[in-house]
Amino acid sequence: MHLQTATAQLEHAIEAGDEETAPKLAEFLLDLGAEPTHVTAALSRAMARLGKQFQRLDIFVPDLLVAADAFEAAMHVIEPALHACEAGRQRKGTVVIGVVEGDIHTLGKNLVRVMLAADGFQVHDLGRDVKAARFAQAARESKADIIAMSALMTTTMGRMKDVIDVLVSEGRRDNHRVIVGGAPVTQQFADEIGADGCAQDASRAVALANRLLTSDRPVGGET
Amino acid sequence: MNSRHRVEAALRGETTDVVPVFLRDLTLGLDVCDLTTPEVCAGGPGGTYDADKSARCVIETQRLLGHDCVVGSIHDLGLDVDALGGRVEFPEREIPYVVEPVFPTAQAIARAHLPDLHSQGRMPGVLRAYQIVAKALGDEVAIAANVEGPVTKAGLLRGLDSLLSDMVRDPAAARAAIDFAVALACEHVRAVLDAGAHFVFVAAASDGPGIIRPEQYLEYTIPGLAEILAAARERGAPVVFHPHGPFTQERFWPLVEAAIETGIAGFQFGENNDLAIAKQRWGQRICILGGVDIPEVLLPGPPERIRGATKSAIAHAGKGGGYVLMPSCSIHRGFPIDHLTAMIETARQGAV
Ligand code: B12
Repeated sequence: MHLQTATAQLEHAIEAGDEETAPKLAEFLLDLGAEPTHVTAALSRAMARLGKQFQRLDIFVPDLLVAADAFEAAMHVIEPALHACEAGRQRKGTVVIGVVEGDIHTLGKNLVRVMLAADGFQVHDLGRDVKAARFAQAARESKADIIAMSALMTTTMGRMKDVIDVLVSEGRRDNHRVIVGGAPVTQQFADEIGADGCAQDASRAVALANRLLTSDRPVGGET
Repeated sequence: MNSRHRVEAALRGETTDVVPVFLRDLTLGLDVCDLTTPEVCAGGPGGTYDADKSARCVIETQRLLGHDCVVGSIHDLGLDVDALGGRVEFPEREIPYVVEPVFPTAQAIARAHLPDLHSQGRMPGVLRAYQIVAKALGDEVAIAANVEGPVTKAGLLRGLDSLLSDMVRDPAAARAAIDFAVALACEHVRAVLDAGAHFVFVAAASDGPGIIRPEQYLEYTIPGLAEILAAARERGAPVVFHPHGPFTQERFWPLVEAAIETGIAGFQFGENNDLAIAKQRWGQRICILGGVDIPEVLLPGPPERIRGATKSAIAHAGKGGGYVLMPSCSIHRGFPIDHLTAMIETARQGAV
């Protein structure tokens, strides 16, 4: 099979949420001599297309969840090759993501996680009902460039500020960019709590994360 | 016309003196009575559920705000979860939430038995609260039995992400979870109607486009809704259906039609819907419910904006009756009371 055909088939397998075929095609592409970054680019293209389709409600949450499984299965296969090559080691940045304490609305956070990973970020998912100290600790341990928090309720969104307060009290606020999102979160709220940005949906969250990492303030890691 | 008559007339599609208001306040009363969440929902230390305090919350909130319809108890989404072996967290001043679902694996569903709502878990307390509320308010005020919809309840028992993945990868497991959830919902319908509720409100946040595919809604939600309806019919009670999603977009109209064909009395539209379209398309066949968007309008306010949104909802859907003014979903502790008053007062002033 031709490289181009296999690449197209891989993209198709991701879009169809085919968890079995996607890793096989990824492996096949590597065997054909494709660069690992060629494979990740194909995966990102497929996920970005799905993100756009979801925005228009042409596809729905289950479709994105199974596509994410297929994406992760394919990534698993190419991970070693990716680490072995210089270009592949250059991840865009590390993100720690979670839903704040007291809130169990996970769907939006999951979609943001998937789209960030598909765009080349290293993402650590802390799940839901995550305490402020846990966000701060995970960000420190993984030297995260970005802390991404989700809250779907006005009663829990205040917890986002708690995380920022912890970072400030530990003198580590400038080590991480903080992004926030979820239905009740507005730019005004993000400004009020001192976050670095907010986004209305997963595709825009990816654009925001990229924008923040290319702006001048250094982030990520050491105190 | 008293509040109960107003709501019942609207559900039959008839005209009313003023537009009836249903807040679907599930935990707001905890603030009104200044009680903590665990002392009511978990019954305090060593308890299960405090029926008396729960009923007091509902009754005092209704007396304070004067809305036409109540849910007959303080309600949370973990009412079945702990009875079946999952775990619910009860934060002091916030809303309870499920921390461990009941079915961590698809296999666990096959081994599960329906709980006895009259003797197990927190439901006996909830039923008792309904009885107290029915006795205190039932002649004057309409009482709704708040019951979760098929995918919504199954998602709470199985974990929604797992359920949605099962729908694609293991449809038999998804089917088993949903069948269990629907059977349980039907038990709720019977028990809560027997405890004094007047109609059934099917709360279905996870049953609709925005989350599931239209064909999954037709495959799982609609047959489940039909079963819930059959259980309500045994008691002669009407049913209102409230899934989330942009149903008034033309491509989703068939999903509303499918719900109407099951025989529902009313459909509550959530956020991102056009009530004028709903009224025009379906207002002759069912009662339309809905009105003020919670995240966009009711929570941020200010009251003046809420009054405007209320007037506009009534103007679009109130004409000719068959309309109940509601927020776009449920109301909880932490919501500003003056925002709710602005909505209710505006409805009281407006002629239909
Ligand atoms: C589905 C749903 C549920 C499901 C959630 C299932 C799950 N596992 O997620 C269930 C039924 C379990 C549920 C429970 C409850 N819910 Co609910 N729920 C919803 C509903 C209808 C849709 C949310 C959703 O999943 N949308 C789809 C996803 C894909 O969109 P999204 O989450 O907005 O995410 C997108 C963006 O916001 C953004 N984004 C999200 N996170 C992040 C993070 C970052 C960093 C960035 C940049 C972007 C970003 O990108 C995402 C993808 O595009 C909303 C209504 C609404 N308008 O949002 C109510 C809503 C959020 N729920 C609400 C409530 C009150 C509750 C309950 C308390 C109800 C109850 N009876 O107990 C409980 C919560 C208990 C708790 N303590 O957490 C309220 C919140 C009101 C408030 N106070 O602000 C809402 C607004 C409905 C209402 N009553 O008006 N709910």
